[in-house]
Amino acid sequence: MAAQTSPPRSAFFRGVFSPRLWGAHALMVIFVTGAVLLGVWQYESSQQDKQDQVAELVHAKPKAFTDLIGPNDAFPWEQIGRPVTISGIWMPEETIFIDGMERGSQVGFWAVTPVLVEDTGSAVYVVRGWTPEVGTAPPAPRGHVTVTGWLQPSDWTDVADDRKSDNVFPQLDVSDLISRTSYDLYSAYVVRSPVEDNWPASSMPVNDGATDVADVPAPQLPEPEATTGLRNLLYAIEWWLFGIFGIYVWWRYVRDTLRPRPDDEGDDGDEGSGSEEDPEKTTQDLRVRSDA
Amino acid sequence: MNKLFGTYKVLAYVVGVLLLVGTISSLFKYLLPEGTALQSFGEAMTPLWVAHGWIFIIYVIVAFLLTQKARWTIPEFLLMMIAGLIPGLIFWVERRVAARIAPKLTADATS
Repeated sequence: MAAQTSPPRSAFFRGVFSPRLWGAHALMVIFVTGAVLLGVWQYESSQQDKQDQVAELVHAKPKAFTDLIGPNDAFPWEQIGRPVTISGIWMPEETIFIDGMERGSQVGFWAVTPVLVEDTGSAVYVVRGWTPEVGTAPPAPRGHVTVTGWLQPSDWTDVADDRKSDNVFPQLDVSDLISRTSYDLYSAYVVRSPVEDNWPASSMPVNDGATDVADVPAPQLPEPEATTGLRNLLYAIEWWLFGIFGIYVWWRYVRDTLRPRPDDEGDDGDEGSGSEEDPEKTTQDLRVRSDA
Repeated sequence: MNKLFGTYKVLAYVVGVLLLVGTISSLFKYLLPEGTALQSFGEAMTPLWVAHGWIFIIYVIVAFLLTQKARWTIPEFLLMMIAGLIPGLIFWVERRVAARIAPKLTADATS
């Protein structure tokens, strides 16, 4: 048994680089590269599926705002970022501005005017758009309005308002605004959505206050479903596991090929790299090889 | 080895059936006009491929362990692996494996 040890480690490593194993090495590299790339492709396509679903939800058919949230309801989180249509009356005298809003490299303000929903008697703040200066901001719209926008939860960053008397706020926090107005407020706000490619066709905006303000993207996007892209993600993991397994098979093959042969040079070695093998197996391997 | 071969056999049949059903479903899904009953059936069967993928990995690992135990060569293992990807082939490969492994199994049983 003691004589059946592996050759010295140096001989083993020399063996790894011998030409007869080049084919196995090449095959392993090709296989692992392929498995990794296929995994990456599947992973990317799972991310793409999620993005596609978000894009689809953002431009879905708008629902009536009053169907999604009541005046005293908590924010419906499952509806975050979904398009809604609000019909009501602009409340221009209640217009506020939100400070520190970026648009490209510029920092400006959101122009925000509440809409009174006549059916419920409660008001909801609508982000009309972005303006560089409060002083040059366009006048707030008046009259009846039908506006489509993305449903957003009240901000909660909790930045202190250092000038409480003016109509400029550091965030759109509905609880900050309750004290400003005598109207009941919805626990949500809406970011006006631009009309794109004839969307939202079923409820085209009327007097939506978009004049002279820049469109604003919704800060909070809808959540894709948890199962979206899951299949591709599982495929990706499979490919990567498969790649790891390929390395293991390659290693076993290399080791089996380089197992000690009786006629190999200097096999009195002491490094028992094969010692973890069960003895029966090693014996049989040796027998097979000496037959060959 | 008897146990391992039993596991291999079961996995081979599961992978083989999943692969056949999956392939037929995919043919329905892509070749038939959209809206027909068989086409939507094919579409509904797509999650089958996830099951096939994962069971295939287990199959490959078991096949590898079996080739190691039976001291077969790597090409033999590669054939078993590829059999899980070409519809129908696995049933032939399974019989081939069963025939080749039979002597070893009896040896196991007597020892």
